[in-house]
Amino acid sequence: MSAADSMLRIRDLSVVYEIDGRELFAVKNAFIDLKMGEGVGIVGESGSGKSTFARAMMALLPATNARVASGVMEIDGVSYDMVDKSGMARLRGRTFAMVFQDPLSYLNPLMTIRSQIVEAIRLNDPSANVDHRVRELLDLVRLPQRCLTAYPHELSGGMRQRVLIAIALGCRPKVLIADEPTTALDVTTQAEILALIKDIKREIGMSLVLISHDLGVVSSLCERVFVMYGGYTIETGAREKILSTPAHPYTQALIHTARAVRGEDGRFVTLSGDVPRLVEAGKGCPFAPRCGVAMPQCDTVLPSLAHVNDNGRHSARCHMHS
Amino acid sequence: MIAVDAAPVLELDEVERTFVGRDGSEVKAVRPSRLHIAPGEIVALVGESGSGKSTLAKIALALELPDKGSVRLEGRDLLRLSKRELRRRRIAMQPVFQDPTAAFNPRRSIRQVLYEAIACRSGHTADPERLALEILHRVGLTPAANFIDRYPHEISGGQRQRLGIARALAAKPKIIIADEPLSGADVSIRGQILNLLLDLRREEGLSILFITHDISIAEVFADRVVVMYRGMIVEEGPASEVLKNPAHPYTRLLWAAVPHIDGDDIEAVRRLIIARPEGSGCPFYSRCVSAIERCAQEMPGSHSLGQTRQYRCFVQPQNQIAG
Ligand SMILES: Nc1ncnc2c1ncn2[C@@H]1O[C@H](COP(=O)(O)OP(=O)(O)OP(=O)(O)O)[C@@H](O)[C@H]1O
Ligand SMILES: Nc1ncnc2c1ncn2[C@@H]1O[C@H](COP(=O)(O)OP(=O)(O)OP(=O)(O)O)[C@@H](O)[C@H]1O
Ligand SMILES: [Mg+2]
Ligand SMILES: [Mg+2]
Repeated sequence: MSAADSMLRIRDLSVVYEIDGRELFAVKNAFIDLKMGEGVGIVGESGSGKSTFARAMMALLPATNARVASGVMEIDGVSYDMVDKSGMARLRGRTFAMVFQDPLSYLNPLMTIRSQIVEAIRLNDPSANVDHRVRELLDLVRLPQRCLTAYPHELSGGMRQRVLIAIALGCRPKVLIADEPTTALDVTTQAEILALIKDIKREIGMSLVLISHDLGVVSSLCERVFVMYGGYTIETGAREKILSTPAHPYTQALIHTARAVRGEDGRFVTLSGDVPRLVEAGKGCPFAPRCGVAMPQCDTVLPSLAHVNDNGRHSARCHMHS
Repeated sequence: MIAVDAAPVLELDEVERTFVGRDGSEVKAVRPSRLHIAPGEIVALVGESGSGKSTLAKIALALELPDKGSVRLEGRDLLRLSKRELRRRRIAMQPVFQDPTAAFNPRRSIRQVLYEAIACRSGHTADPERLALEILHRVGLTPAANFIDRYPHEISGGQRQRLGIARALAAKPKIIIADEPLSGADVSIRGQILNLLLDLRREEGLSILFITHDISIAEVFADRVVVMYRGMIVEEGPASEVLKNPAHPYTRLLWAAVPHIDGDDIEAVRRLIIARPEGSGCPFYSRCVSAIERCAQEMPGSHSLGQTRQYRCFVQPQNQIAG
């Protein structure tokens, strides 16, 4: 995709955690593109680096042991060095806002819902007509007025997630980053929240980065998908292409096991092997140890990102395609 | 595979439980319900958050006393036993909990955890170490010798989930009651755990009560599905039939809400989502797209569908909105 198409581009993002005196990569050479009003999904198994990616965008990595090693972000034609934490932090709110898997730990238990929404509105626009904005946000997330006087623990999981979305939208962000926003919810509540995010996205023309380990969730809201494995972005393309003709063996396995299915022997189809642990920047393909079609070079040479087809919009990091 | 005619391992009859909140309001967590599980049978209990699944499971485990009704394990009424006798009998029924991290004392090694469970077995176990290693091997924590002296926090989440199953097995139960054992597990772990449970059923004849809010897993994993909504069992029957052809509007909603990777599911499920004021009759009335006037005032009775299925709804399945 050309730079002109996208409102947001991140290139070569690498993040390390210091563990027992060693720096280990959780995100490595990862990237993303996002057009105005578009929804993109980041999928991958637990530990693949999805949340770390999102936190780097928000400048919310733990100060104690995390460090952005490299990364460039372009937004609306302006370029930022992602290593510069304070520069990135200034984009929080107006440019990016985030909702998390577990709303309770991001809401203040001692403040009413109204005060927390008001705080978010003021942060962005001290002179805002607060009452009007609160009503607007409440309508947007379809919460009844009576919730305003409630405290977080008095609301159900689904309502808390709506509150968190209202707070995130309070800053009028250009991009909403939603990290597993429905993982803690049951399926019916999940369906309601996904429908809500879809409506909001359309109503206010917001762009969305949706993070989930569930391909079903991602494909219900996103036009494009970025697949992560072992910290790398290993495949990207339009949702339909990724689902119909996945190029990377990992993506193929992910799709094959997206729903619990039993093989002819009656056993559930599984992706064998363990998800990768953090390692010092390895040489080979991170998926090689679990890959059914690995070749000798996969253990030693990291595949580069190569176009698969779809006019260069579908690419994968796999030796079969390079 | 399932001895349908054999006497049930576990029989809950007419059990009910109402909680009184701090503000005096009543929550009917379990309305009068019947749940029988045959030897070697896998029953999935599905329903959304707050539907009463865990309460029903705790009643089955005699960890929660029902206000009314009876709980029988291998034919014996648990509620009439002395405390001591109850503790002894209850070993045949082992729980596996949702959160494997919270389920273990961080100061006890895997060896201690398993020895403690083995000690629950009737009779003396001559070589607990061998048995513990065998069980670790059984649940795929191999090489077992590498695991036995570690602590629960020193293994991964998926491995901890297996350890939960290992602990349950160590007591040599007849039935495992697993409350959301897959929540938080991603696809690779999910398949491994389900396969392990299938093996245990096949090889040891274990019965399994499997609690989940994901009806798509119930469909492929269980022999029978029991669907619960706000304390009421709204539908039950063979997994393959119930989900291919639901007979209750709530089952239809649960099924439609599963996000699939193909098709625009949100639009399909949207047609099944409504909200209206509560009635005094069917608990699902306020959210039911198929409701008729009567549903607001009356509690529907149970109807049979063929020999093996039951549902509670005034509207016949063919007249319900399919979504
Ligand atoms: N604060 C931290 N300190 C050290 N390591 C960390 C820290 N946070 C995450 N990690 C490690 O970094 C890797 C990537 O973690 P991350 O949370 O980004 O994964 P994820 O894809 O979001 O996984 P999940 O689906 O489980 O949320 C994992 O191996 C994780 O253990
Ligand atoms: N000890 C208790 N005191 C008061 N109310 C309770 C208690 N335990 C459960 N409840 C209420 O009973 C109802 C059923 O709860 P239960 O935990 O059985 O549901 P569940 O189906 O297991 O839900 P989840 O999927 O969230 O685990 C809920 O409304 C819950 O708030
Ligand atoms: Mg995460
Ligand atoms: Mg529960």
